[in-house]
Amino acid sequence: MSTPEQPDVERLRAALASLGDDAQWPDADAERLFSALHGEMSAEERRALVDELIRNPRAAAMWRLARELPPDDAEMAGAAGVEAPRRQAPWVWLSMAATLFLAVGTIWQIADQPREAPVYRSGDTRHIESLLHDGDRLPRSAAILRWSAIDGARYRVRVLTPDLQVLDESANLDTAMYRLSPETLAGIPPGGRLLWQVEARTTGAAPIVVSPTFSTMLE
Amino acid sequence: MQDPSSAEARWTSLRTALVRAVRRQCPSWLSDHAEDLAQAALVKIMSGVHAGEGNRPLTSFYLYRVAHSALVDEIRRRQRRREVALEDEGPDGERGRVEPHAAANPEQDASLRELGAAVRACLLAMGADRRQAVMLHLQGHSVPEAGRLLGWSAKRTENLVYRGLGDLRRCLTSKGHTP
Repeated sequence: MSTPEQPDVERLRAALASLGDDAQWPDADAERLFSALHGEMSAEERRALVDELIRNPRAAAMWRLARELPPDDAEMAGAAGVEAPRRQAPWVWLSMAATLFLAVGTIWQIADQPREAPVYRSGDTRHIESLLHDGDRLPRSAAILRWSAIDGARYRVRVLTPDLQVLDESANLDTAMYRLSPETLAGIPPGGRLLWQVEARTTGAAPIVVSPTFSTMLE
Repeated sequence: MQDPSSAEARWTSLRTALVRAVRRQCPSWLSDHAEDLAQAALVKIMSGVHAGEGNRPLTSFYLYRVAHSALVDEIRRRQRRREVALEDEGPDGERGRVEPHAAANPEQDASLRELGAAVRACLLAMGADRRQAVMLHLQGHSVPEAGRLLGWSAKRTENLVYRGLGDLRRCLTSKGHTP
């Protein structure tokens, strides 16, 4: 028997997939679809679900996405031993997300710089630390972010909410502090957190220094 | 205690998988924003994992299932926003600002959707075993994968896909489409 793969199959796949972006189809149970594809489910149930994919192109689109996300316990070797993050405050995880978020911007900005001849340097030991004390709440009337200074640097600060909405951003600061206005903070509830990060630039060929993402609680 | 750098590497790996999934499977008006979509899903996952899961180990299966759901939610949210924007016409009849649609060629796009609707109609009219085998094949599964999912041998599945595709081509031709 010849293989069923024919040149027209890709076009048929694309045609069927094009239906999934239409608003008319109902929502489907994403977790059930994922479990059917990657987990335990009887063949009878799966067959019924495949019929649902035909009836509901949105479910078919979810299935294709799930197919792109195969769990891999070998790849995630640490998974079984990883403790769930309840032992850490949520802002630790959000800070990681913010770090990823801010890193994209930083990489983009660095990539946008004019290229210079490579310079060989010793390891750059400069770094930026928050000068706000752990556990302190930032007063709204004097919400000043402070960080350790680097000689001759100018700074860019980005301030985010925990869901990574940019609250404030300021560049070309020549002092290692930044005051947030009460208006900027108006939408943050008492006890809410701010995520913030500082980039320092110095003149010449010195590299940009990027701080970790700091998390600070508002009063 | 999990080493923070390995935990971060794990999230980065998941983020990469999400971006890749969106780029491969979503229309271009969404896949152009794959980084944003993955980021939004990741934040949702991190918050959800923290809020509800206590100290039990996070298996890869659990994490990827939650990631899939979060991504689907985020895509749905953007689809709704886009629908609202499309319906939001200004007083001069000008449409609200929307993200550009995928179609580089609207005629080709419409033609593809028309073919897609015909494929769906033909599948629905086909015998159960053949339509299920063909549907999984059109979802991108290999014959052995489809067989495993449907509980059939590879040989039987290959037979069903082969015959089912023949049925599909004949049905499409009868509807005026060239497969």
